[in-house]
Amino acid sequence: MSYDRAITVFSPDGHLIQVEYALEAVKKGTTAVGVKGKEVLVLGVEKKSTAKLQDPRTVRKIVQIDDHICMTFAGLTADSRILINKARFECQSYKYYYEDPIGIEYITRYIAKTQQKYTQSVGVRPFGVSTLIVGYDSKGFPKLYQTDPSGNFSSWKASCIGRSEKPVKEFLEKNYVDEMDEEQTVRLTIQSLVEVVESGEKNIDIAIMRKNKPIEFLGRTRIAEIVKEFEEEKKRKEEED
Amino acid sequence: MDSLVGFVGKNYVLMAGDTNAGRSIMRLKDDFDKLVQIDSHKILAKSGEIGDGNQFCNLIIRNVSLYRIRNETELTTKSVAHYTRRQLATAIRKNPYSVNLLLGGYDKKDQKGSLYYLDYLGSSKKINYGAHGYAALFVGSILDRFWKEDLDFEDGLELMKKCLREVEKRLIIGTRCFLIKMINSDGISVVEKVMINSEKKNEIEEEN
Repeated sequence: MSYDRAITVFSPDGHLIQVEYALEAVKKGTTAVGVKGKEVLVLGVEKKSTAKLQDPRTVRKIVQIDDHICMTFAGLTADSRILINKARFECQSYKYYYEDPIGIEYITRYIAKTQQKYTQSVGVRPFGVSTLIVGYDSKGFPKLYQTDPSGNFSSWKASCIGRSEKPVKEFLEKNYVDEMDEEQTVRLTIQSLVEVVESGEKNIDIAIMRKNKPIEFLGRTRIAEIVKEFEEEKKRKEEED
Repeated sequence: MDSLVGFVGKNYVLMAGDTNAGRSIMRLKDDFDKLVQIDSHKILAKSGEIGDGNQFCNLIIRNVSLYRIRNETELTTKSVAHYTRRQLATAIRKNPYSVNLLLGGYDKKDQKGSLYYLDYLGSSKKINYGAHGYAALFVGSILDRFWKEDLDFEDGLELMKKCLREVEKRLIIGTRCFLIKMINSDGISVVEKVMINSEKKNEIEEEN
């Protein structure tokens, strides 16, 4: 067993093939959407359809990293578990040393740094996970960050990762407006997911992050209501045409 | 020298600590809160070296938070006591923390309060009432005599004030100001900041 060979090496044309393969793994994962409103952040995920005998409540894709920061991911669930654990530890570690709650950009940088480390270390493979991280920065503005297996990160107004990245991103680009209120942001998130999630609203999870408040998961009935309104609107539009 | 007193009542835990922070004969601060909040329903009352107390309590708070974030549930008072004791026990075998603690907590599951006595040697014991510091010399006998199981809040507060009055009366070093906190099902609340002056017979002024 020799660990003296790196797994991620450059290809002749300057690509890191392993990282690109990791991105392919992310593209196979279930969709996750994040949308930033004027004073609210909404995360939406497509839940993998659970087997008949499986307890759906144990499959959680939106997780809390700290009291004021949440994240979701797309890709290999087991890999994401490692990242989430490291992030949670880092949040408490930061508070231990500095007595302040960790900043959203700081933790994003940390997660991205970790992902990059695994593309340049011996004997390890990159994480097959892209993440969406939401929280409020020190000035109180909502922030949405995305990281990917290469270790890149950037801030977004709205973003999507996973299976249906392309169609959902196109939808968001068409329909996103700046400074949406909470209701509009939630609707946009649900609408973008409903288009692509096969099994309908039962397999959608929505989480709302408000400033200085704990994360709130939207109830099943509320999601079903909103989806119904979309469908009725769609029908009306079709009848008019 | 610090004084910490605590006891368990009917669905609550009452804890008090003096608010002095000093160095040899000098009082550096007279509004020092020694009853540190660990999570929504637990207090760690610290006495001993101030630096050690800060460092150690910080460590416990951060690890309890990490557990809560990771597992989406809070630890019970018993678990926190055991964890804290273990940290103290491993520390004394290398670089001891000179910290004595009273851990008070309310568990929603049992709907009961509990109190633990921990000291810098790594001992831990679940107690109904106890104290650290010079207060322990005077308060032990008062609590032995007057503490009953399931004291309701008013009687408990009166008993606490009786203890603090005795500490103020008998300690040659001035410890007049105490902070009393309560833990119950609603969480942690500051009951009173009490200033005791025993020259005025049996009179206690409240300071808010």
